[in-house]
Amino acid sequence: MSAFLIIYFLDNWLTTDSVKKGKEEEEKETEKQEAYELSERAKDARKIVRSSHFRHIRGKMMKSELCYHDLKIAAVPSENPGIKANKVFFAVPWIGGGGPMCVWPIARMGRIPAKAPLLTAHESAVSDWDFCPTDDYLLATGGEDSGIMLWKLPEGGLTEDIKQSTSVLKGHSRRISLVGFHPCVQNLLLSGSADNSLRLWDVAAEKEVLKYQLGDEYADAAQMPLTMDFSKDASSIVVSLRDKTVRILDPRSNGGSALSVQVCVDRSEQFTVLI
Amino acid sequence: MFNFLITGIIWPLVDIDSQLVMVGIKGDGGLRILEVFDKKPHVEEIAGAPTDVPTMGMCLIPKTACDVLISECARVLKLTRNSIEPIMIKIPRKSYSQFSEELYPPTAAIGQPASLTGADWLEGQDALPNMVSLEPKAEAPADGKILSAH
Repeated sequence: MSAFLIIYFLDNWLTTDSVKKGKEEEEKETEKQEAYELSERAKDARKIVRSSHFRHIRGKMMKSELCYHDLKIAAVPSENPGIKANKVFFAVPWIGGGGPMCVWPIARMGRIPAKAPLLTAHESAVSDWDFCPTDDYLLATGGEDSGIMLWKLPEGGLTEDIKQSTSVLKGHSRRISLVGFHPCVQNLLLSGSADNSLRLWDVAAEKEVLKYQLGDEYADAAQMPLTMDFSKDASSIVVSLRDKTVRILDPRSNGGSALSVQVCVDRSEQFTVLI
Repeated sequence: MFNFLITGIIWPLVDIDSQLVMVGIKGDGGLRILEVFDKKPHVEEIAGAPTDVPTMGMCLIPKTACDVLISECARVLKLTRNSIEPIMIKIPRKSYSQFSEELYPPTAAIGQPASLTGADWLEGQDALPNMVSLEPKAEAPADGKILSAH
């Protein structure tokens, strides 16, 4: 009887001990597992919370006295951002006959007088304009009178109307839709027009350098360039056209060999670029 | 894929150096700031700057005109019907005495001679734009490629 009890207790003790041991091992394992999961989660969390220097960025409106008031801004085509600026000036189209432009020094905040000095050589409304990236005092404007005008702006801003542009670039047969300087080639200006062509101009020599006919010159303005950009290394030009395509041009190859990229526009106005 | 619910023409203003995109919407008062990065999901909206008056147009001032000592990353000129409201986009800091190098990578020079002449470009040369450091009184490094913007 006693032997049985001893064996029983021993057995029981052994079993409890083994169970305990097993439990401890299990616990250890689960702890390990949890620790592992935690570390994985931490790694995931690190992935989710991206480190960014701009995380706390905020946009803040300037006070009223640091704004520009009482402007008489003329309407522009809807693809145009309506204002261009550089370090010294900003330029906006002004209400009035012909196509006046107001070029105002950025440093002069507050009310803009009703008779602000204007650039008034265009015969009809100005459709696009751009400041030269290499010269803060050079502005190019393209008008619906199919002329591109270059303006040498006086230092310190305009004091009276400028009725004669520094030079006129003629060549397009219909209204100008696009004017833009090349960011890293000196004195190179690109223009687009409703005659479905793109032209590159040497501004210093006042002559046309290259021309690309994107569509029929006398057809409707289906291939009219609306916006453009240059690649960073100056090798190619990207233009978006009115027929909902984007064209990537190699400007120095024969006739500007073009890779045409269809841009689908579905009814929900979501844009997808297919290359 | 990044989806916005937008009705209207948008003007994406891109700061290519710090990979920020300021999105203005015609007829809407707001300005959204997106950051573009290499990993998925590639685009994230990091802030918005709601204002009351509807936008009619928008442009950026060159970065070389921003006040780097108050952590100003970009300045947007917002055109309304009869006024222009500058919006200063900056990062709040406890103290503004130092230039933060991580916020201002070298940027393309504005108002200085370009890196290529027209004749060289027509012959087939390519070149990257001249870069400037935005640090006040920056000294030119040994290769002389980075010039001072101030």
